[in-house]
This record gives sequence, C-alpha cells and structure tokens, in this order.
Amino acid sequence: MSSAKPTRKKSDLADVLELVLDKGIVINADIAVTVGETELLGIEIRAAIASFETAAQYGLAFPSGTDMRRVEQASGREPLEIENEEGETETVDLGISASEGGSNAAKDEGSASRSPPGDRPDPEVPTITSSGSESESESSDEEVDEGSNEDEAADEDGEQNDEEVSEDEREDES
Amino acid sequence: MSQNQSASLDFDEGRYLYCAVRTADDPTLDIEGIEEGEVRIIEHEGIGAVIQPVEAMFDSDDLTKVRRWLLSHQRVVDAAGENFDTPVPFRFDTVIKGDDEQVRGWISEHTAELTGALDELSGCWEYRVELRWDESAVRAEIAEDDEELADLATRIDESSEGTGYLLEKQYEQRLADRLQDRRSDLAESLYDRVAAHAEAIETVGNNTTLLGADGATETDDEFETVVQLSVLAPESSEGPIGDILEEFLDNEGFDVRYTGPWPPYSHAPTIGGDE
Repeated sequence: MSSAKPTRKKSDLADVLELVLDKGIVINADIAVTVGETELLGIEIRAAIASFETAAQYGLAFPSGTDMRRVEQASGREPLEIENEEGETETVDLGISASEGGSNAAKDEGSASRSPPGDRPDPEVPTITSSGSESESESSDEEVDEGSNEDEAADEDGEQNDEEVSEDEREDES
Repeated sequence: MSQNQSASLDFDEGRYLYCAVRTADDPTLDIEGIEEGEVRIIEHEGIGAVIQPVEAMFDSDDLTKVRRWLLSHQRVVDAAGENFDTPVPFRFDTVIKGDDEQVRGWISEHTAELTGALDELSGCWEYRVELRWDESAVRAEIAEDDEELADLATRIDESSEGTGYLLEKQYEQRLADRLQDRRSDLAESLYDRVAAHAEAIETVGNNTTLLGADGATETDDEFETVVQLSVLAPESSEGPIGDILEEFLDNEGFDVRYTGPWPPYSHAPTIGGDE
C-alpha cells in the first residue's frame, strides 16, 4: 500500500460502493425519487454494504456512525473476530433488528470468517466471503475479484470495474 | 421528505439517473446499465443525463445483488467519465418518474444548478486518503520519550498498591492525551498539505466504511486510522499528493491508502428544494 499513486484496486471498491450508495446528486422534486428518501434497501443491508470490507475484516457490520476508533480501542479486533466465528453476531451488532437483508449479509460475511484465523493465508477475507456465497449465486463475482485481484489491477484506471465483473476465474485463487 | 415515500414510489415509467455530463449533439454511451439495462443520454442545452429506462426502483434484500447494482452504477459513471468531462454522479437509485421529456424538463428547470456543478467539478476527481499508524509502536515511543510519563512510571514502581493504582490511571490518561495530540497534529498536517493541492477536502468522520477497508494490509495488523480524507482534485494533483503521502510513509509504522480517481460523488450537489 505504500504507493504514491492512487489505486483503484479491487480492494478499494469498498470506498466507491459507499460513495455510490450515500453520495452523489440528490434531487428534491416531486417527480423524482431517491433511494435515500425511501424505505428501499433497508438499513441492515445498507449498513452491510457500507461496511462490507470492514465487516469482512472484523466479522461484523457496524451501523453507520459508529465510532470505530473507540470500538477498536475498547475491544480490539480479536474478540470481534472470535465473535463472528459463531456466525450469528452480526445482526446483533448492527444494533438493529434482524431482517432478511441483514441475515443475508450476515451469512455472507459469516461464511467468510468462519474459517479459523489460522487458516487465513492472507488478508483477502472478502475473497473467501464471496467464494462462500458463490454457490448461492453467480452474482458474487465482483466480490471475488475485488479481493483477489488487487495487485494486477493496481496500476490501471478506468477499467477496474469492468474487470471485476468479467474475471470469474479468480475466485479459486484463495 | 419521508411523508410522501410510499406515494412517490408509484410510477409506470421512469428514468434511472446515473450522472450528468457536458455533451454536444446526440451523445451516445455504449455500455450496459444495471441488470443489463439500456443506457441512453438525454441531452438538453448541452447537459446530458445518462439514464436507463426503468419501471421500478432497484430494491432487494440480497446484499450480493445490491452490491452488483452499485458496481454497475459505478461502471456506467466510469464509462461516462471516459467519454466526457468529469461526470457529476447521481446517488444510487435516483429515478425521475416519467419519460425522456420529463427528464428534459427537469434539466431545463435546473440548468443553472447542473451547469454550476459541472463547471465546478470539471476536470476534478475524488480521491480517498487514509493515514494509518501502528498505534502500539507510537504508544511505546511516547512512553519512552515523555519525561512526565517516565517520572510517573518511576513513582508507580516505588509506591504502594493504592497510590500506584492512581498513578497508573494518571499515566494512562497522559499517554492517551499525548497519543491524541500526536494524532491530531498528524491529521492536521496531512490535511493542510493535501489541501494545498485540492479543490476541496474534507475529513471523513467516524465512518465505518473506510476503516480497515483495505484487504491489502494484514487483517490482524495493529494499524489504526489516524485520519481519512475525501479530496477533490485534478488529476495533475495526483503526483504531488502522492509525494506528500510518501513522506508520511517514510516514517516507520505508517501506512497509507490512496484510492481514486473516483467520480466526485462526495462533492455532488443537492438539486431542488431547500434541503
């Protein structure tokens, strides 16, 4: 990560997912409707998306606005990861009631970190995550690539998002 | 905004909005939209809205599906960025109810705001900078260098259990204060130096998303976030900002995430209404 050049690696996509979901032009007009103004995409799934990488790393999803520094200082990462190995703590830690979306999120992330910490060859937890959900849905290709393909994507601009959709084969890497 | 939520969701025909761009006559964009949808550009007075005809909002409880939609949205905005000047992206799932004419009408009504945003963001992109440090190492360093802490440590060793406990509390408090001082100094320094090369800059506060968002560093490393910045800057600033970050990286125990260029999501305006 010690590059002086900005990167758009697969692992950086967490940044932009959050931006797409929570930033961008907002229209205030009767003729328009914006997800932010509706009850679409329940808070659980929004939290799960916004904190996807974090969740994969910490094993759970925090609601937006959580002071992660304090959480970290208070708890450290290890206990959080241990919690997650049970695969059931995510929705609890969201601080909101479980729902279908939250459960899905929990399932995905739970499967990621269910593998014992000692088994992790590298920090590509998202890779494992999506491999876990791969069997359920074709659509998780993005996550697979996002986690595993970062090096070769490091120097490229613009093409990243196309790649991550197309390079299905990388899912086996980890 | 919330009182008309349910009503506002009813539409037979709508135009999902990806981004606004500066366009000339009959602009096209050869890319598939969300769920392989058709993407078109509706142009009015030199402003193009990159849209996809939809009959409903995108909504799902399936995290994987929603992530795929978000990535598709970003892919379309990226494509627009490659074909035009900096696109001003809309938030995900923003739909104008009605047909192309409705969109044209909306552009027409808000030409000034759209033009302002397009001009302001022209040539600029959003970059994300996160400075991280090995906090335990910094703690150790502070403990070693700070005379008052050294003095407290000596007094703790020499005192009774009760006094020692209180002194330990003092010690921890001072260490925490010093750590926070150093964190603030670093954050301020990075902010100021990067700001010199940015059109706009803001601290990304208490955000869960970016902390530890990098899969590239060790999952179980001891690094903690010092500061995260959202930077709006021209591509020509990439190098100078990178050089600044390199200087921080020269210090042992520091790590930097520097991502972009992204479409300027964080700097896109709210259009219409008072909010």
